[in-house]
Amino acid sequence: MSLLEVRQLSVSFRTQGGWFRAVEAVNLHLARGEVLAIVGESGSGKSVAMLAVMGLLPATARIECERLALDGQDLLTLTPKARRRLNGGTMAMIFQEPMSSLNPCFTIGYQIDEAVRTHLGGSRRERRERVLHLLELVGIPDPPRRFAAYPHQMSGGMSQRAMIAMALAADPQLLIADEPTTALDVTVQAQILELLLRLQQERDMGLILITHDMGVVAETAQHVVVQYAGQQVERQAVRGLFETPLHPYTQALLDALPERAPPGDFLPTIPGIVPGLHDRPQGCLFAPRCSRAEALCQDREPPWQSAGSVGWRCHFVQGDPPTPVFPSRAHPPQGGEHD
Amino acid sequence: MKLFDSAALAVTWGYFRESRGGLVGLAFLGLVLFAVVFADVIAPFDPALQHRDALLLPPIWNDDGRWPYFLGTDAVGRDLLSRLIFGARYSIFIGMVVVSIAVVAGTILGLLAGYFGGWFDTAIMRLMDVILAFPSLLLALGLVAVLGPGLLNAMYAIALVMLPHFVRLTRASVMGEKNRDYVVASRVAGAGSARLMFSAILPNCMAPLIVQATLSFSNAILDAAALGFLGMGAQPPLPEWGAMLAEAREFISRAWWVVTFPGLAILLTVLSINLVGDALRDALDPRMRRS
Amino acid sequence: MTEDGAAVVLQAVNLQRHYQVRQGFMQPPATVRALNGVSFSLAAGETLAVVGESGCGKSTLARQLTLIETPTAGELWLDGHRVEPKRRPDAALRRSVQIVFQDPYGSLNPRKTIRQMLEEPLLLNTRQGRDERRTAIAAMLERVGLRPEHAGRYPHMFSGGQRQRIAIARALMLRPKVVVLDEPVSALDLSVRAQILNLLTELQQELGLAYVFISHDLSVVRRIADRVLVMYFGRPVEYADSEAIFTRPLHPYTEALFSATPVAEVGQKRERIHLQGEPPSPLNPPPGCPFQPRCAFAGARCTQSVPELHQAGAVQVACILR
Repeated sequence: MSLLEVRQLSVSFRTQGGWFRAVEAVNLHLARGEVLAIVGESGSGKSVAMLAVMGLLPATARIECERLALDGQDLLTLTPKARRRLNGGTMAMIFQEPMSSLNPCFTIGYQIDEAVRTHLGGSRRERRERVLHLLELVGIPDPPRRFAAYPHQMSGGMSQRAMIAMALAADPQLLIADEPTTALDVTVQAQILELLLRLQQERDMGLILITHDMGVVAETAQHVVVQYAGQQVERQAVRGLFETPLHPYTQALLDALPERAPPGDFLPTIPGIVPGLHDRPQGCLFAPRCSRAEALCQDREPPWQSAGSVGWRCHFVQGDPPTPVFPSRAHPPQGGEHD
Repeated sequence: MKLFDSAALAVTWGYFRESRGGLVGLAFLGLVLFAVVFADVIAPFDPALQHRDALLLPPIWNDDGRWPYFLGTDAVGRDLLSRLIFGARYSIFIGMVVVSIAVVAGTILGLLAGYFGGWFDTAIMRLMDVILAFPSLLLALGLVAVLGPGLLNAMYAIALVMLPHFVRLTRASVMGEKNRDYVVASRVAGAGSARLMFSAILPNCMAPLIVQATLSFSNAILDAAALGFLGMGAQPPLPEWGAMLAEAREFISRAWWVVTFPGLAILLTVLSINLVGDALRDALDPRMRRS
Repeated sequence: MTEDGAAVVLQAVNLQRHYQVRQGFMQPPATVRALNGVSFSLAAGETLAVVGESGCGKSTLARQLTLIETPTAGELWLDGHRVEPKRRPDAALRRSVQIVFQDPYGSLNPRKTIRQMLEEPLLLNTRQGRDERRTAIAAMLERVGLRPEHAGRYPHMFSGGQRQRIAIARALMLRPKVVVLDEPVSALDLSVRAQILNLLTELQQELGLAYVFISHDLSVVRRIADRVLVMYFGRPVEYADSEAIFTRPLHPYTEALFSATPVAEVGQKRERIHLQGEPPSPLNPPPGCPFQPRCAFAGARCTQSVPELHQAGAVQVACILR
């Protein structure tokens, strides 16, 4: 049963130098109980795309979308008020920096209560019960004491748990987590990820995890979407992505990981940097950095193709099942290349 | 040590340009500055020259007005327009001197307080609190009463009263920047305290200081005018706008122009500076910049 | 002092750093033991990785090593010279150690050109003339993979990876023997990390630099470190050669740390050691071993005394059970 359906989502920002295309033609399908990871580096547009789905972008953003539906309901035709009611209600989002996502002037209890009050209502006592229940659910010890604690009195891990509690206040069907563990220590990260997955399974929620950490992807996701410079370049089930990455960018990204690199002093690198506002190439956006690129790649932008649940955006990936651009996983490392 | 680079200046000007109020204010200020520089050339008369045959003449569009006294004359026959033009010099001079003293002294004190902290910080801040505890005009008045009336003493007094704002601003910025990585990097490279304060930290605190200096400029003019009005600032026959207002008090009903035009001059100048200051604050605020 | 033929450039003996923290109006100040007995030695061309989470003392250690602070107790030897505890370090000492920070966006002064930033260490510590300085700057920029004409630009015109190169260039201007790298690639994109790590490896091989590499990213540590020091709550808990520690970590905390790190391989759902709770507050240290409240193997003896590092096979470990 399709929970989230996004078709051809594009987001542009007005800047001093003209319109900047942050997200281009993104398609997503998420079913209930499914975990999707969106992977990309800075400039990939992964966060912006999800903020657009939540309706949290500033007025300077221009959003174009063919279809945006949550649990069958069309979001594009909703009034702003109705849309706001969905936020925190049916769909919720948690962010990267728990310390700055919580208001330092109010207690944790007050802030979670705000979410409960907005979406569920109820008497003061009922709401307090619910908040305490939520705090316990996310593994915060001694909930009555933490209810009256301020964010600065809590560690990063605790704050992130509080954020999760806030997000779960109204039993959402969809939870979007934008790099929820990047700012946390690795042992705390393991705890938070485990918590998210457990909650997701217990409640049959859809979970979209935005991250740049391939290890996290390998251990938590069922499906993966890879984004580069605002475009989707590959979509696969997680095992397929790691064993036979199709797109050259995915391949290069995995090869650049220290744990997957062949032994030796130097690591394989991807030459060049992500295109910004002023140096967007014609044709394929990854071509300037791609070792497989040809004249075709600079002339024609590769279209999105798919075969079943697998999708890719590259001229050289063909067939059903599709063959990767670099069939052997070990392709020679390019040592010491600079910007 | 370059404080600005031309590219950053161009970007700031780009944002500044978007504020209509800022541009209007800048235009008017340009006019005032023009008057300051070219007063000798453009003023019809010497501001101290008394015309016995033209006492209390109304402005030229009035039936009783007489050419070439465009805005009329005051009780002793001095041309109002000329006095206003020369008066601009005093106001701009006052603003510049006062703000310079306050900025330099305030920035240094703020740097020292923010950087070293400890009892030094406490001492400076409590001193600033004492100054802030007095209503500014009252304090200035008291100082002038002690030092003696006169434009120069009025300026010292006003500068002192403005000091705490700059000290606080600089101190807050310094405390924020002091622990940034680039400052630590300079320390590891061997920079001493003085170099760290002035070369590394200070240039990064400039934006709020510039805005505050601009807005203090207008306050300085207002305060000087107030002191002049009370007879404690510029003394007659100086054509300072506040002093002109003081002299004209008794003529409010009889000769409205002697009061209105100096008042209008003060109003428009102060308004322009405030408009420029606001636009500058928005232009320099990194959060308002589009990526 | 030499060790296997290479000169030992950095030696720490029982380094300690305590801070006095005000507790409130009427209460006496509390002592926070941020660093509580760290010892190691580092030779030219070697990389020591310091691994640990927030509050373990690695930032404090970095500050001691770069001479920003002086240790409360213990000895620090830089290039054969002792760092005197109460005196300001002299220029010669300062030239032996430099630092590269984590955040490429905060470690460069936004108001200075690249040239001004790279010139500063030379101005402060050498008597080189203007032309000499310019030549040195141009050479260094090329060495880190940038072009000499970049010297006149401001930091905001560069990407994160390029800024980190500039930071590395700045650190190397004085030709230090030791470079402290505080999470130098954590804030960079994946594809850029490999470039910077390769650059660091090249420079180490060419200039014989000794690196103190602070990181929480174990996959990076595994690639580039010769020895690893694992810290917890201001103390060393395990110290060994990189191969030894990754093959068989002994200390329960090290095991938990390794187990918690996600691996980019599908289907490797390992038996994860679930580390509950959080590190203790430095104002309220637990009795005995600082890790025992969270340790799965803790027993009664663990609360009685603080374990010191002792040799256990190929590693040094601070645990009475190993």
